[in-house]
Amino acid sequence: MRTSTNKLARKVQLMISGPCESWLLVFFLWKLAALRIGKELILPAPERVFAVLLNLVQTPEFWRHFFATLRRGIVGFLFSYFAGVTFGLCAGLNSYFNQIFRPVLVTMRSTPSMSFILLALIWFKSDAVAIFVTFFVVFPLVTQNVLEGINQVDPALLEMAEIFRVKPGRILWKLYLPAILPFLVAGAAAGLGITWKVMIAAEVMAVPRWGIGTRMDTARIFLNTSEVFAWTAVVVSLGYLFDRALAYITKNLTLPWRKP
Amino acid sequence: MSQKALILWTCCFLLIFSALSPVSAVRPGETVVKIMALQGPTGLTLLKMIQDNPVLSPNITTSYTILKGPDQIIVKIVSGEADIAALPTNLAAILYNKGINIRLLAVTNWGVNYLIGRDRSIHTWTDLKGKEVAIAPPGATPDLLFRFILESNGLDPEADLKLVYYSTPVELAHLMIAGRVELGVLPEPWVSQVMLKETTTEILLDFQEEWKKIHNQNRSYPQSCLVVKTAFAQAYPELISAFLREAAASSAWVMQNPDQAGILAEKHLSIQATAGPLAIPRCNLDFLRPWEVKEEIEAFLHALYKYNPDSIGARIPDANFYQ
Repeated sequence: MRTSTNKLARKVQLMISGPCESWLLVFFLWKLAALRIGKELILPAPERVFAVLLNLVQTPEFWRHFFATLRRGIVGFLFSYFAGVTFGLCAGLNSYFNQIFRPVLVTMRSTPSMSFILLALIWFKSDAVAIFVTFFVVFPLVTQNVLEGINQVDPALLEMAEIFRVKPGRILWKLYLPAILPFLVAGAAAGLGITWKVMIAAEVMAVPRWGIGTRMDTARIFLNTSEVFAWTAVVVSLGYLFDRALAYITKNLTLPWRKP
Repeated sequence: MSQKALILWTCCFLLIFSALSPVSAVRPGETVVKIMALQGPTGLTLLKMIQDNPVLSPNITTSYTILKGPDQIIVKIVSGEADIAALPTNLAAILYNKGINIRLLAVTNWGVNYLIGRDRSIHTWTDLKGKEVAIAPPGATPDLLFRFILESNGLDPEADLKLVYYSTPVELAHLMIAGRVELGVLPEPWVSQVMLKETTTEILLDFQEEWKKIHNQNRSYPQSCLVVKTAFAQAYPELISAFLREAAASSAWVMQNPDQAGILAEKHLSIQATAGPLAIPRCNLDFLRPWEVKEEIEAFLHALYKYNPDSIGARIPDANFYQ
């Protein structure tokens, strides 16, 4: 008992000291580089970016831009995610559907996201561009994950289920779902991670009335490098927050299946 | 702290010392004067010089570089590579305010922005009430000027009309040619290019004329300028005066010979030759020294400052900016 408590304490210590030191190192090197360059225009010092960020969050516009991007990101992600899960299940359970669908998926996966952005700029109004682009990047990613999960199901078990005439609903629930669940979670994590990146890129190009990407572009036009950094920090925190939230949700969600 | 961490931190401290050592910035034996200009109307003033490459000083050669975007010219100025540069006036103010050692050499053009479209019902700015107007990009100079003019005419840019944004004038110009945007704010040479390809498009409102009216002055707003690296101006005063003479002559030549200038503009500045002769008279070239037009410059910077302080680098430049 004592050794396990010690182990836990050691683990906690590692968890805290590890990231803490790595953050220190990042800020240290950043400050160093800023000192070396000596021009805020090219590389602002970390404390300068922090000051700009503090000023920024006090303005009402900040929150309007922030929530516009947040809303767009959630809508884009959820839409792509559910479409991806649906298509992934269909393709995984039906080989004919899979054959038809696979080339489309491969094409989508290998198309540069900039191509989607450039085309979306021609086709849509600026607000829809970011959601459209997110869909085309996240959807194939999620579908791929679901497909991989379905391939993980033990064929021997499936055969047995067929012999014993287990109901299809029960097969899906008891055999497929536990197998694909880790892949669903991995798909969600990967999809969310890339959502914010693609979303910002699309916003910078499409300049919707409200959106973090638009403000980043304005800051860039006026050489406000500190503000570009500050907005970047906002997006990074957003991504981090969602990553943590997802980890928390999945930890509680997968429990029933993990029980022996 | 483990041994590895100790080594890591030691390396970091060693890096500090190397970082704090001075960077050698002075290039000895300068024999080439590097003149850089942004393509499009910003570089138009220097067109004849770029073509003829006149001798500015007996022992010094002159090199001209045309750059595609503001980002590129910024890099050249910040790195100190450009000795003289043609760029938007607010960008010059930003660079000056960010501690880049440059001085204003001359104001070269006095506005190239127009509101164009196919809606013939628009004759005055107040006619824009309730209309949808496209601008590119949001928050940049044309957007801020448009808001200024609207408010001066008693309109609320947010409530009285719908502003739609695109990321670049190129994109907006293409949409206007395709007939998908009715009213748009564009700079030259895009105005002329749209009007050539979509012949029902007309110039409806002139930013420059309105600016003169609002400010009750003969000159419009100083959109583009020439800047010089301070150290360079101090080291080569004769070369600078020779340059200013040639640049003023070049500016006058371009305005007097729009047809020939149009051909050169396609060759050097990526302005289509067909659009050039139409666009050049609307580019309002007028070569003036900073002290002659300090009031106009300050009025312009103040107006931009009011809408977004960042658009001029967060403060009005001090007297040194004007030499």
